[in-house]
Amino acid sequence: MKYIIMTLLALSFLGGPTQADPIELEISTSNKPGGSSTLVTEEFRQYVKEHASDKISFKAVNRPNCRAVMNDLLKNPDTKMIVPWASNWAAYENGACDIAWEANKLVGQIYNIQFAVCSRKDTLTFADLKDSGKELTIAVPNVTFNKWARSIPTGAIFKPIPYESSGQMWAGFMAGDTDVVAGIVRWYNALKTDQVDCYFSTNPAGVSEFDIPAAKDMYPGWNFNTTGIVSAFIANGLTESEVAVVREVWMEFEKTQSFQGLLAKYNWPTKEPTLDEFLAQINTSRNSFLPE
Amino acid sequence: MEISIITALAVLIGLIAGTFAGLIPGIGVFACLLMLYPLLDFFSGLDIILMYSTIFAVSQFVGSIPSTVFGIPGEASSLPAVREGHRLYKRGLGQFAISSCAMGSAIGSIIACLLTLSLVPFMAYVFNFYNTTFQVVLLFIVLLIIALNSQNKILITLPVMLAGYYMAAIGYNVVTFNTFSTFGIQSLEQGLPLYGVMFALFVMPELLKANKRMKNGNTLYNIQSKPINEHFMNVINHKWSVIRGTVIGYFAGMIPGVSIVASSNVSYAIEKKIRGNKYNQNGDIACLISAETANNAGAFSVLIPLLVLGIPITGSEALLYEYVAVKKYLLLGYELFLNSYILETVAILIVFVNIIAVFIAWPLSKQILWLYKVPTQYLYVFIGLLGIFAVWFTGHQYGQETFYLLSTTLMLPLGYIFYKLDIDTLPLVFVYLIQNNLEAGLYRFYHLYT
Repeated sequence: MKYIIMTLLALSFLGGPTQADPIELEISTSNKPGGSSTLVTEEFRQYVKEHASDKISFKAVNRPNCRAVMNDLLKNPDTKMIVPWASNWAAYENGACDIAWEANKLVGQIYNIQFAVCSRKDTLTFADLKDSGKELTIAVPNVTFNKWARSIPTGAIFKPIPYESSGQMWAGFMAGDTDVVAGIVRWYNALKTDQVDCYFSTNPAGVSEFDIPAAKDMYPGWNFNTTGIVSAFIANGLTESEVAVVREVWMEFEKTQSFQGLLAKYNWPTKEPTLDEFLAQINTSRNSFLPE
Repeated sequence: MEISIITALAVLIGLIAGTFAGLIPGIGVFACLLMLYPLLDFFSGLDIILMYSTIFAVSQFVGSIPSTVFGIPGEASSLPAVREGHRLYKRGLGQFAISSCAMGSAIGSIIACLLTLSLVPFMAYVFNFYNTTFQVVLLFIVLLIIALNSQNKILITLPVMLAGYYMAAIGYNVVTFNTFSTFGIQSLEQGLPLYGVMFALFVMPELLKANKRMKNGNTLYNIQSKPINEHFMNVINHKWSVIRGTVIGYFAGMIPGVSIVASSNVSYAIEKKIRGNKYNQNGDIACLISAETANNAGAFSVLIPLLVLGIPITGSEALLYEYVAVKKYLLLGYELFLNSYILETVAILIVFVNIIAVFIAWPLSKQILWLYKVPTQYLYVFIGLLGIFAVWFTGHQYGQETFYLLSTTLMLPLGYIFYKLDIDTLPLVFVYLIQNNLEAGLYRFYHLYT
């Protein structure tokens, strides 16, 4: 009997819980100056390396833009990876960067950025925006905002001036290259330091702190994004249990000072919505970016 | 200003790397930055800028030691030190040459920092006119000056620059959304790896050239000590040379492409002219002090266009800009506009660095020259291996070790051809590094005016 018990005990040790190997998956990064999601990707990658390497092992793969990500996914649809996906990707031609959303792919929400149309302090007035004879240059960071700028139903004619990144666009705007800046997250800080005047925001509730009206109230017929951009990490090729592990790590990352610092710096909302709320948000935003 | 341990570590690495850069010909600030790449990830953008500034400043201090003692220019800006310092050394006045270089350098650098700090409040006004048109014009002026100041003939420089532009354009174009010259190779969509290009086409040819130059060097140290007050009196007696060197060096340091080389050489030439008949053919200490003060004043002012406007004016700055913008999301110029503390922090820290550098370059000058006991070809091999490791490490970060190493290996024969043909590749790498800014600027320029 003693030997039977000892054998059972030994077997239970052998078959008992062991330290699982970390999930190996790719994470898309960029070797070009990137936008907000690239920034979060790097922070998350660093966090995993330092605090969760026993759960996740990332292989960083340089994919400089959404098309590179989608090309890889088309060639190898089962690749285990997480991708920072933003609702404005839907705006690219032929849906080249669009992706079918499923709830079980969500790792975590990165941000929900609201935008505004602003000018440098005291250089323009609201009346200028309504003036049908006026051509205004508008600083835009990419193809999404090029379309966005063209679609704004003000009286003025907007001429988009392309910048490679939002930071450069802001610098050019401040230097006097353009009359108006659109779609940039930095307007919030600029308002606080009294550098700009903003005329309307994509925040559906407007910005009461600065008396900025909501774009959707001002232009009821306008549907080319009046909600902002929602961005999230989504998983590809992972099992549900693997997604759950990555999601758990993400939730821990959200609590860190580095992520909270980004939220504060860029005025991103801090509340993680429920899955249903999030899907509703991303679908609304995504639909508003889909090419007509 | 609080200094974290990480920042202090960045400065310490800068001090060590700057000493190496100053001592060993061919290992300039550019190569140092490239070799340090695997470490940079641990530091913030500001820490990296501080590390870079420290390397730059310390290499200028230390560069005068091998120039004076062995007649070997540790840095391109050390040529006046080779001429005057080494002659003084041969006359038994090496101790004064070294101390006056160190003290003059510190004074020049500290005055340059203070001058810059006093200008900080006015720098934000630059953005009132610093638009696309201004940037594009400025970039073209920088390119023109680099082309004209290259060691190559202009007919060689132009195709070399075009080659740099072509190499940088390979890959996916974020402006046109098309690929260029990728030949269906998916890895090439991200472009040629920056560190591979820098290593194969700039660092390697420079190492080979330096190794060739070093073969005939004499490395005996023979300096007698003198009372410290004599050293101070020597500098005080040449105070006007120090002031002239500072002013000339400060402004010449901002000349694109040549910066501190112009600082030291222009200051040297002017001082020599002023000395007239008093100029000593067997080693002139006034000319030496002026030139060495100038290159350190320039070593600080060279940073101003980068920090204030986000425009790199030397190859190493272009590399620095690329790194902090891509990896650290610090858009110099713009960030500085909002956070003037960047320039202030750099300036204040450089003052401290200078004080330490005086000790390295003067009382410790004999100790640091031990490095010359190691056969230099071994040092170059070690540095070459370190460079290959940096390329591998960069590739490893993106899970693309094979692509990085393979593309670098394929570019190495080209680097060797440049070396054999004695072609200066700085114009190539400079254009390679700024191509993105240039193209984006031209694209915006087109949209603004059409």
